[in-house]
Amino acid sequence: MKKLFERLYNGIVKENPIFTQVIGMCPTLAVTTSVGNAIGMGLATTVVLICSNAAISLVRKFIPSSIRIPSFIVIIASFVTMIELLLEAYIPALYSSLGIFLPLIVVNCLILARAEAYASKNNVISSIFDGLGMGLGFTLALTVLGAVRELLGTGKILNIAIMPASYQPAIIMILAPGAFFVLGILMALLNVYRSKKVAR
Amino acid sequence: MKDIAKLGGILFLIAAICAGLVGFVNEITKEPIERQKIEAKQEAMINVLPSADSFEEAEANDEIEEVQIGSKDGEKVGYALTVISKGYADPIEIMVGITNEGVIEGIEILASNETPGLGDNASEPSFTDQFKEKSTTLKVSTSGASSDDEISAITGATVTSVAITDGVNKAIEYVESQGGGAQ
Repeated sequence: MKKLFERLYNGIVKENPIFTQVIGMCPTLAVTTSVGNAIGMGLATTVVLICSNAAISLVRKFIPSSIRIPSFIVIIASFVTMIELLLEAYIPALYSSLGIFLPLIVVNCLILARAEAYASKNNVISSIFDGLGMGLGFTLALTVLGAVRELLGTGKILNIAIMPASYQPAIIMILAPGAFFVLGILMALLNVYRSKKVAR
Repeated sequence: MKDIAKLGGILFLIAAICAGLVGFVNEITKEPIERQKIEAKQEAMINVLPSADSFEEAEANDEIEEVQIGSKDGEKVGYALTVISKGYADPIEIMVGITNEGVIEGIEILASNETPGLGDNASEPSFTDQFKEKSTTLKVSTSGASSDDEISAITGATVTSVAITDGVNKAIEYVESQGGGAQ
Protein backbone atom coordinates (compact mmCIF):
# COMPACT_ATOMS: atom_id res chain seq x y z
CA MET A 1 0.00 0.00 0.00
CA LYS A 2 2.75 2.38 0.99
CA LYS A 3 4.51 1.73 -2.29
CA LEU A 4 1.40 2.72 -4.24
CA PHE A 5 1.14 6.07 -2.46
CA GLU A 6 4.83 6.58 -3.05
CA ARG A 7 4.13 6.09 -6.80
CA LEU A 8 1.41 8.76 -6.74
CA TYR A 9 3.60 11.21 -4.80
CA ASN A 10 6.49 10.47 -7.14
CA GLY A 11 4.44 11.21 -10.25
CA ILE A 12 2.68 14.32 -8.98
CA VAL A 13 5.48 16.01 -7.02
CA LYS A 14 8.89 14.43 -6.91
CA GLU A 15 9.30 13.48 -10.55
CA ASN A 16 6.60 15.67 -12.05
CA PRO A 17 6.75 14.93 -15.81
CA ILE A 18 6.77 18.58 -16.82
CA PHE A 19 8.51 20.51 -14.06
CA THR A 20 11.14 17.92 -13.13
CA GLN A 21 11.57 15.50 -16.03
CA VAL A 22 10.69 18.07 -18.72
CA ILE A 23 9.18 15.51 -21.10
CA GLY A 24 6.08 15.71 -23.28
CA MET A 25 6.79 19.36 -24.05
CA CYS A 26 5.07 19.45 -27.44
CA PRO A 27 1.48 18.94 -26.20
CA THR A 28 2.30 20.93 -23.07
CA LEU A 29 3.19 24.06 -24.98
CA ALA A 30 0.51 23.60 -27.62
CA VAL A 31 -2.66 22.91 -25.65
CA THR A 32 -2.29 25.04 -22.52
CA THR A 33 -4.10 28.01 -24.06
CA SER A 34 -6.96 27.53 -21.61
CA VAL A 35 -7.73 25.64 -18.41
CA GLY A 36 -10.46 23.63 -20.14
CA ASN A 37 -8.10 22.38 -22.85
CA ALA A 38 -5.40 21.62 -20.27
CA ILE A 39 -7.68 19.49 -18.11
CA GLY A 40 -9.10 17.65 -21.15
CA MET A 41 -5.65 16.83 -22.51
CA GLY A 42 -4.34 15.89 -19.05
CA LEU A 43 -7.15 13.48 -18.24
CA ALA A 44 -7.11 11.87 -21.70
CA THR A 45 -3.36 11.32 -21.32
CA THR A 46 -3.89 9.86 -17.83
CA VAL A 47 -6.36 7.28 -19.14
CA VAL A 48 -4.00 6.21 -21.94
CA LEU A 49 -1.05 6.15 -19.54
CA ILE A 50 -2.85 3.85 -17.08
CA CYS A 51 -4.00 1.49 -19.88
CA SER A 52 -0.65 1.36 -21.64
CA ASN A 53 1.30 0.90 -18.40
CA ALA A 54 -1.00 -1.98 -17.39
CA ALA A 55 -0.79 -3.66 -20.80
CA ILE A 56 2.98 -3.30 -21.09
CA SER A 57 3.52 -4.55 -17.57
CA LEU A 58 1.39 -7.62 -18.38
CA VAL A 59 3.41 -8.57 -21.47
CA ARG A 60 6.82 -7.39 -20.22
CA LYS A 61 8.16 -10.93 -19.85
CA PHE A 62 7.26 -11.93 -23.41
CA ILE A 63 8.91 -8.99 -25.13
CA PRO A 64 12.66 -9.38 -25.81
CA SER A 65 14.52 -6.22 -24.86
CA SER A 66 15.90 -5.63 -28.37
CA ILE A 67 12.44 -5.07 -29.86
CA ARG A 68 10.76 -3.46 -26.86
CA ILE A 69 10.53 0.08 -28.28
CA PRO A 70 8.61 -0.84 -31.47
CA SER A 71 6.40 -3.17 -29.42
CA PHE A 72 5.56 -0.41 -26.92
CA ILE A 73 4.76 2.05 -29.68
CA VAL A 74 2.44 -0.43 -31.40
CA ILE A 75 0.64 -1.12 -28.11
CA ILE A 76 0.29 2.58 -27.22
CA ALA A 77 -0.89 3.57 -30.70
CA SER A 78 -3.47 0.76 -30.68
CA PHE A 79 -4.83 1.92 -27.32
CA VAL A 80 -5.18 5.49 -28.45
CA THR A 81 -6.90 4.46 -31.68
CA MET A 82 -9.35 2.22 -29.83
CA ILE A 83 -10.15 4.93 -27.25
CA GLU A 84 -10.63 7.42 -30.08
CA LEU A 85 -13.05 5.14 -31.94
CA LEU A 86 -15.03 4.28 -28.80
CA LEU A 87 -15.33 7.94 -27.79
CA GLU A 88 -16.45 8.94 -31.29
CA ALA A 89 -19.10 6.24 -31.28
CA TYR A 90 -20.49 6.53 -27.76
CA ILE A 91 -19.49 9.91 -26.26
CA PRO A 92 -19.37 12.21 -29.33
CA ALA A 93 -19.53 15.40 -27.24
CA LEU A 94 -16.30 14.54 -25.43
CA TYR A 95 -14.74 13.34 -28.69
CA SER A 96 -15.36 16.64 -30.44
CA SER A 97 -14.15 18.72 -27.50
CA LEU A 98 -10.89 16.74 -27.29
CA GLY A 99 -10.47 17.06 -31.05
CA ILE A 100 -6.85 16.97 -32.09
CA PHE A 101 -5.52 16.10 -28.60
CA LEU A 102 -6.38 12.42 -28.91
CA PRO A 103 -4.09 11.58 -31.85
CA LEU A 104 -1.45 13.82 -30.25
CA ILE A 105 -1.26 11.49 -27.26
CA VAL A 106 0.41 8.81 -29.41
CA VAL A 107 3.45 11.02 -29.87
CA ASN A 108 3.57 12.15 -26.25
CA CYS A 109 6.93 10.79 -25.14
CA LEU A 110 5.77 10.75 -21.51
CA ILE A 111 3.81 7.59 -22.26
CA LEU A 112 6.72 5.83 -23.96
CA ALA A 113 9.04 7.03 -21.19
CA ARG A 114 6.90 5.47 -18.44
CA ALA A 115 6.56 2.24 -20.43
CA GLU A 116 10.32 2.06 -20.78
CA ALA A 117 11.36 3.33 -17.35
CA TYR A 118 8.73 1.75 -15.15
CA ALA A 119 6.05 -0.55 -16.60
CA SER A 120 8.53 -2.80 -18.38
CA LYS A 121 10.27 -3.58 -15.07
CA ASN A 122 7.46 -3.65 -12.48
CA ASN A 123 4.25 -5.53 -11.72
CA VAL A 124 0.82 -4.55 -13.01
CA ILE A 125 -0.60 -2.90 -9.88
CA SER A 126 2.39 -0.61 -9.28
CA SER A 127 2.50 0.20 -12.98
CA ILE A 128 -1.16 1.28 -12.93
CA PHE A 129 -0.45 3.56 -9.96
CA ASP A 130 2.67 4.87 -11.64
CA GLY A 131 0.53 5.74 -14.69
CA LEU A 132 -2.09 7.38 -12.47
CA GLY A 133 0.52 9.42 -10.56
CA MET A 134 2.35 10.56 -13.69
CA GLY A 135 -0.95 11.33 -15.42
CA LEU A 136 -2.20 13.44 -12.52
CA GLY A 137 1.17 15.20 -12.26
CA PHE A 138 0.95 15.98 -15.99
CA THR A 139 -2.66 17.20 -15.63
CA LEU A 140 -1.77 19.39 -12.64
CA ALA A 141 1.16 21.00 -14.43
CA LEU A 142 -0.89 21.60 -17.60
CA THR A 143 -3.71 23.12 -15.55
CA VAL A 144 -1.38 25.54 -13.76
CA LEU A 145 0.16 26.58 -17.09
CA GLY A 146 -3.27 26.87 -18.70
CA ALA A 147 -4.63 28.93 -15.79
CA VAL A 148 -1.77 31.47 -15.89
CA ARG A 149 -1.95 31.80 -19.68
CA GLU A 150 -5.73 32.07 -19.85
CA LEU A 151 -5.82 34.60 -17.01
CA LEU A 152 -3.16 36.87 -18.49
CA GLY A 153 -4.17 36.29 -22.11
CA THR A 154 -7.93 36.72 -21.85
CA GLY A 155 -8.61 37.92 -18.30
CA LYS A 156 -10.89 34.93 -17.75
CA ILE A 157 -10.66 31.43 -16.32
CA LEU A 158 -13.07 28.80 -17.68
CA ASN A 159 -14.91 31.68 -19.34
CA ILE A 160 -15.55 33.42 -16.01
CA ALA A 161 -14.13 36.93 -15.87
CA ILE A 162 -11.53 37.18 -13.10
CA MET A 163 -9.64 40.33 -13.98
CA PRO A 164 -11.38 43.72 -13.64
CA ALA A 165 -12.90 45.04 -16.86
CA SER A 166 -10.13 47.62 -17.17
CA TYR A 167 -7.55 44.83 -17.62
CA GLN A 168 -6.17 44.79 -21.15
CA PRO A 169 -5.63 41.10 -22.09
CA ALA A 170 -2.08 40.27 -23.22
CA ILE A 171 -2.87 38.19 -26.32
CA ILE A 172 0.75 37.04 -26.55
CA MET A 173 0.21 34.86 -23.48
CA ILE A 174 -2.17 32.56 -25.35
CA LEU A 175 0.01 32.57 -28.47
CA ALA A 176 2.99 30.22 -28.73
CA PRO A 177 5.59 32.56 -27.14
CA GLY A 178 3.41 32.87 -24.02
CA ALA A 179 3.75 29.14 -23.46
CA PHE A 180 7.53 29.44 -23.31
CA PHE A 181 7.42 32.51 -21.04
CA VAL A 182 5.09 30.92 -18.50
CA LEU A 183 6.79 27.52 -18.51
CA GLY A 184 10.24 29.12 -18.13
CA ILE A 185 9.19 31.40 -15.29
CA LEU A 186 7.33 28.65 -13.42
CA MET A 187 10.32 26.31 -13.72
CA ALA A 188 12.68 29.03 -12.54
CA LEU A 189 10.50 29.74 -9.49
CA LEU A 190 10.33 26.02 -8.67
CA ASN A 191 14.11 25.75 -8.95
CA VAL A 192 14.60 28.69 -6.59
CA TYR A 193 12.26 27.02 -4.10
CA ARG A 194 14.03 23.68 -4.43
CA SER A 195 17.54 25.07 -4.07
CA LYS A 196 16.50 26.97 -0.92
CA LYS A 197 15.03 23.79 0.49
CA VAL A 198 18.27 21.90 -0.16
CA ALA A 199 20.35 24.70 1.37
CA ARG A 200 18.36 24.52 4.55
CA MET B 1 19.99 -15.17 -38.50
CA LYS B 2 17.86 -17.37 -36.31
CA ASP B 3 17.62 -14.53 -33.85
CA ILE B 4 16.30 -12.11 -36.43
CA ALA B 5 13.60 -14.55 -37.46
CA LYS B 6 12.56 -15.07 -33.85
CA LEU B 7 12.45 -11.37 -33.00
CA GLY B 8 10.66 -10.62 -36.24
CA GLY B 9 8.15 -13.32 -35.42
CA ILE B 10 7.44 -11.88 -31.96
CA LEU B 11 7.09 -8.36 -33.31
CA PHE B 12 4.78 -9.69 -36.03
CA LEU B 13 2.67 -11.41 -33.40
CA ILE B 14 2.35 -8.26 -31.27
CA ALA B 15 1.48 -6.14 -34.29
CA ALA B 16 -1.02 -8.72 -35.51
CA ILE B 17 -2.79 -8.90 -32.13
CA CYS B 18 -2.94 -5.10 -31.86
CA ALA B 19 -4.15 -4.74 -35.45
CA GLY B 20 -6.78 -7.40 -34.79
CA LEU B 21 -8.04 -5.57 -31.71
CA VAL B 22 -8.15 -2.21 -33.49
CA GLY B 23 -9.95 -3.85 -36.43
CA PHE B 24 -12.49 -5.39 -34.07
CA VAL B 25 -13.18 -2.07 -32.30
CA ASN B 26 -13.40 -0.34 -35.68
CA GLU B 27 -15.96 -2.92 -36.83
CA ILE B 28 -18.23 -2.53 -33.79
CA THR B 29 -18.01 1.28 -33.74
CA LYS B 30 -18.49 1.81 -37.48
CA GLU B 31 -22.28 1.85 -37.35
CA PRO B 32 -22.70 4.09 -34.26
CA ILE B 33 -20.15 6.57 -35.69
CA GLU B 34 -22.00 6.68 -39.02
CA ARG B 35 -25.28 7.25 -37.17
CA GLN B 36 -23.72 10.01 -35.02
CA LYS B 37 -22.51 11.79 -38.13
CA ILE B 38 -25.94 11.73 -39.78
CA GLU B 39 -27.60 12.93 -36.58
CA ALA B 40 -25.04 15.69 -36.15
CA LYS B 41 -25.68 16.85 -39.72
CA GLN B 42 -29.44 16.85 -39.25
CA GLU B 43 -29.01 18.85 -36.07
CA ALA B 44 -26.69 21.33 -37.79
CA MET B 45 -29.16 21.88 -40.64
CA ILE B 46 -32.01 22.58 -38.20
CA ASN B 47 -29.72 24.91 -36.22
CA VAL B 48 -28.69 27.03 -39.18
CA LEU B 49 -32.14 27.15 -40.79
CA PRO B 50 -34.67 26.91 -37.95
CA SER B 51 -37.57 27.97 -40.16
CA ALA B 52 -37.39 24.70 -42.12
CA ASP B 53 -38.29 21.28 -40.84
CA SER B 54 -37.28 18.98 -43.69
CA PHE B 55 -34.34 19.00 -46.05
CA GLU B 56 -33.67 17.63 -49.49
CA GLU B 57 -30.34 17.47 -51.22
CA ALA B 58 -29.99 19.43 -54.45
CA GLU B 59 -27.27 19.72 -57.06
CA ALA B 60 -24.23 21.70 -55.95
CA ASN B 61 -21.79 23.73 -58.04
CA ASP B 62 -18.01 24.25 -57.92
CA GLU B 63 -18.13 26.82 -55.14
CA ILE B 64 -20.51 24.97 -52.83
CA GLU B 65 -19.79 21.58 -51.31
CA GLU B 66 -23.36 20.55 -50.64
CA VAL B 67 -26.76 22.12 -51.15
CA GLN B 68 -29.73 21.14 -49.01
CA ILE B 69 -33.06 22.78 -49.74
CA GLY B 70 -35.05 23.33 -46.59
CA SER B 71 -38.80 23.40 -46.63
CA LYS B 72 -41.68 23.71 -44.21
CA ASP B 73 -45.10 22.19 -44.91
CA GLY B 74 -43.91 21.29 -48.40
CA GLU B 75 -42.94 24.82 -49.26
CA LYS B 76 -39.34 25.85 -49.89
CA VAL B 77 -38.11 28.34 -47.28
CA GLY B 78 -34.36 28.42 -47.83
CA TYR B 79 -31.03 26.67 -48.16
CA ALA B 80 -28.56 24.97 -45.84
CA LEU B 81 -25.30 25.26 -47.74
CA THR B 82 -22.03 23.57 -46.85
CA VAL B 83 -18.99 25.52 -48.00
CA ILE B 84 -15.29 24.86 -47.59
CA SER B 85 -12.85 27.67 -46.97
CA LYS B 86 -9.09 27.62 -46.49
CA GLY B 87 -8.40 28.20 -42.80
CA TYR B 88 -5.21 28.85 -40.88
CA ALA B 89 -4.46 25.16 -40.48
CA ASP B 90 -6.77 22.94 -42.55
CA PRO B 91 -9.83 23.68 -44.66
CA ILE B 92 -12.79 24.80 -42.58
CA GLU B 93 -16.20 23.31 -43.27
CA ILE B 94 -19.02 25.75 -42.66
CA MET B 95 -22.78 25.30 -42.93
CA VAL B 96 -24.76 28.42 -43.72
CA GLY B 97 -28.54 28.70 -43.49
CA ILE B 98 -30.02 31.30 -45.87
CA THR B 99 -33.68 31.99 -46.52
CA ASN B 100 -35.24 32.44 -49.97
CA GLU B 101 -34.93 36.19 -49.43
CA GLY B 102 -31.17 35.85 -48.98
CA VAL B 103 -31.06 36.52 -45.23
CA ILE B 104 -28.70 34.39 -43.10
CA GLU B 105 -30.49 32.55 -40.30
CA GLY B 106 -27.40 31.03 -38.77
CA ILE B 107 -24.00 29.50 -39.45
CA GLU B 108 -22.22 26.58 -37.88
CA ILE B 109 -18.62 25.35 -38.11
CA LEU B 110 -18.84 21.66 -38.98
CA ALA B 111 -15.17 20.80 -39.05
CA SER B 112 -12.03 22.80 -38.42
CA ASN B 113 -8.53 22.30 -37.12
CA GLU B 114 -7.79 25.83 -35.96
CA THR B 115 -5.49 26.74 -33.09
CA PRO B 116 -7.13 25.87 -29.76
CA GLY B 117 -7.84 29.01 -27.78
CA LEU B 118 -7.58 31.28 -30.82
CA GLY B 119 -9.03 30.33 -34.21
CA ASP B 120 -10.89 27.53 -32.49
CA ASN B 121 -13.09 30.16 -30.80
CA ALA B 122 -14.73 30.70 -34.19
CA SER B 123 -17.31 28.08 -33.33
CA GLU B 124 -18.43 30.09 -30.28
CA PRO B 125 -21.81 31.84 -30.63
CA SER B 126 -20.15 35.20 -29.88
CA PHE B 127 -18.55 34.96 -33.33
CA THR B 128 -21.09 32.96 -35.36
CA ASP B 129 -24.10 34.95 -34.14
CA GLN B 130 -22.69 38.03 -35.86
CA PHE B 131 -23.69 36.53 -39.21
CA LYS B 132 -27.37 36.27 -38.32
CA GLU B 133 -29.71 38.60 -40.23
CA LYS B 134 -26.96 39.61 -42.69
CA SER B 135 -27.80 39.54 -46.36
CA THR B 136 -24.99 41.33 -48.20
CA THR B 137 -21.40 40.44 -49.05
CA LEU B 138 -19.46 40.74 -45.81
CA LYS B 139 -16.09 42.15 -44.81
CA VAL B 140 -13.95 41.46 -41.76
CA SER B 141 -12.96 44.31 -39.47
CA THR B 142 -10.17 43.94 -36.93
CA SER B 143 -11.17 47.01 -34.98
CA GLY B 144 -14.75 46.04 -34.26
CA ALA B 145 -17.70 45.96 -36.64
CA SER B 146 -18.99 49.46 -37.30
CA SER B 147 -21.34 49.02 -40.25
CA ASP B 148 -23.94 46.47 -41.31
CA ASP B 149 -21.70 44.58 -43.70
CA GLU B 150 -18.84 44.10 -41.23
CA ILE B 151 -17.96 41.17 -39.03
CA SER B 152 -15.60 41.83 -36.15
CA ALA B 153 -12.62 39.46 -36.24
CA ILE B 154 -11.69 37.10 -33.42
CA THR B 155 -8.74 38.58 -31.53
CA GLY B 156 -5.55 36.83 -32.61
CA ALA B 157 -7.28 34.87 -35.35
CA THR B 158 -7.83 37.20 -38.27
CA VAL B 159 -7.01 34.51 -40.84
CA THR B 160 -9.71 32.22 -39.45
CA SER B 161 -12.24 35.07 -39.32
CA VAL B 162 -11.54 36.02 -42.93
CA ALA B 163 -11.74 32.37 -44.05
CA ILE B 164 -15.15 31.89 -42.48
CA THR B 165 -16.46 35.19 -43.84
CA ASP B 166 -15.23 34.23 -47.34
CA GLY B 167 -17.09 30.93 -47.02
CA VAL B 168 -20.27 32.68 -45.96
CA ASN B 169 -19.92 35.12 -48.88
CA LYS B 170 -19.75 32.17 -51.29
CA ALA B 171 -23.02 30.90 -49.85
CA ILE B 172 -24.64 34.34 -50.21
CA GLU B 173 -23.50 34.55 -53.83
CA TYR B 174 -24.97 31.13 -54.52
CA VAL B 175 -28.39 32.12 -53.23
CA GLU B 176 -28.24 35.31 -55.28
CA SER B 177 -27.38 33.29 -58.40
CA GLN B 178 -30.43 31.15 -57.68
CA GLY B 179 -32.64 34.22 -57.96
CA GLY B 180 -32.91 34.92 -54.25
CA GLY B 181 -31.13 37.63 -52.36
CA ALA B 182 -31.46 41.33 -51.85
CA GLN B 183 -30.50 42.83 -55.21
